[in-house]
Amino acid sequence: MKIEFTGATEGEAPLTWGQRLMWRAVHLMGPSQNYLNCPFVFPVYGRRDLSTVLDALRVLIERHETLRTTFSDAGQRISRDGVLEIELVEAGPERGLQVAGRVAGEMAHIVFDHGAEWPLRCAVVLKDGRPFALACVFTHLSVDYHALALLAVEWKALLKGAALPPVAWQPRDQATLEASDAWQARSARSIAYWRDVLADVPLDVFDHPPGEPEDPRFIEVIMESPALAVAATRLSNRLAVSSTSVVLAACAGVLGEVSARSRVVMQLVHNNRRDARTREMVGTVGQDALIVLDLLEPDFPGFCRTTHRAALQAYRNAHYDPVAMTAMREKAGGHDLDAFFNDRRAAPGWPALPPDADLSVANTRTYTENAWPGVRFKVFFTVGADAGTGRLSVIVDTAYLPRTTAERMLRSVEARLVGAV
Amino acid sequence: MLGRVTGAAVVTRAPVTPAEPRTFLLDRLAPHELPGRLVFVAELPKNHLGKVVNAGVGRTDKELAQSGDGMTEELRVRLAGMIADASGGVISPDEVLAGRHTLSALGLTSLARISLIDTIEDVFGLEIDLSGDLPSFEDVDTLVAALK
Repeated sequence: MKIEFTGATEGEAPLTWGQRLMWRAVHLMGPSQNYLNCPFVFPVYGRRDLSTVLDALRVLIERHETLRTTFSDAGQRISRDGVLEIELVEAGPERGLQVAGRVAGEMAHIVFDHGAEWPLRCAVVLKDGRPFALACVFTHLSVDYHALALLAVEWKALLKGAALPPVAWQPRDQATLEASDAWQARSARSIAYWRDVLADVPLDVFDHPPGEPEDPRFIEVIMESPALAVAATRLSNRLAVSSTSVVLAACAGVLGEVSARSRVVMQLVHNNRRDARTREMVGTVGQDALIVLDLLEPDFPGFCRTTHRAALQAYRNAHYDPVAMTAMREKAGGHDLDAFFNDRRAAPGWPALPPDADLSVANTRTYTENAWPGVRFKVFFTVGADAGTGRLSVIVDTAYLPRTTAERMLRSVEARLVGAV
Repeated sequence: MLGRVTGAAVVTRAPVTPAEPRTFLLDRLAPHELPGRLVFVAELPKNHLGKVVNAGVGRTDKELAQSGDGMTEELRVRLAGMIADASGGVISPDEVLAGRHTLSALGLTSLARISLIDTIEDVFGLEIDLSGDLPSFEDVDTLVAALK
């Protein structure tokens, strides 16, 4: 099966800042760049025939330039028309969404050929011959998770036969905006902020040399803790700072402890959609922010407020040209900056938490998974997206942080939060 | 605090002249504690527990003391619109102007704050320093004071 699309536009433009970041990332990661691919499932709502489903997909591609873009060192190239091959998969006796999730995951294992291939691959999952879901994988050069959420809303409307307003802002417009004097000045200011931070911090996250790594070397230790979610929510309400800042403060405190440093520097994964035009753009926008925190405050609530203010500074300075930033960082000595924090929740709080969840840590469990092959982080905290689980995980390089230490770190984050309520 | 003026909102049972409360306070307060602005109001805004709502007092102060100052009101309205835009429709300009809740309580996220600061910088052609107290502004009047 295939769909033929004909968009209204074509052209070329420089890469946007978000695309430049991903362009650099896919080259740094090489064959393991499939880690960056974005698998996504669009459920088919109601009883729709195959042609309706394929039509909805065609309209999405025609509307959004990012879905008919190829990438090279020279920039982004938008094609007006093209053909996308669609695979049909019969789910059999299995649950349709489960099959769709698996199909999307399998397609995500294959690296994109960014200069020659469309930035998405799709399969329609059928149940008894009727479309059940659209399983896709996108290159991260073309979308981020916010963009996927925007596409999901349009997808639902298109299946219903609704007409959508024209797309107001495309990555090409974004590239033009980023070249403007105002945005270049903003980029320069962000780079100056990073330079100031880097002038005062060691080159490496850890002072100690790497030890004998475990096998596998890179692992993700996961903690599911209702107590963490309850504590972070209560502290957030009481202190009038976001629950992100509260959990970040606890993670920073723990990182300071294991690195035996009073100053902690972390990169914050940041969605970066602060401009009203960019907010609704289907494209990749996220850039990393840099936070610096001095762990001098003895009381945790005070440190949460400090963290919240510092995070605001960090987010503000997450608008920059990654090429210029890389040049500055190399000149500054090549700091590894290999400690990260990411909050994956789409909305504040944990609204789906069981109503009887409390501060008891008796229901907390931890377990370990292998990190995605090719991931090379020293320490990477992630707040899970699930609104019903207080999920905090940490990817570690076991040459620096053994599994038992990683597990203790997560428990210590939980203890700090629960203890401060 | 820099850029702030001490003010007093006064409720009286009987008519008094502006000089009378000042004379009363003169030997009770240090010179720097004396209110630079006096506003007579019918009643103080209170919350459901009967406590005075400070943000509301400030608003009364601005509205009455500067009733001749159309610029301030215009700036408040303009900033309230920007705050509403930055919030992506979560907060309405009226909610901002009413000042009954902090901007955080109304749902102004960190991302929206930065978006707002960007807009203010673009519109007013200035550079905002985030290292001071400004990032934690919780009402439109703090912003007005910072921009004046």
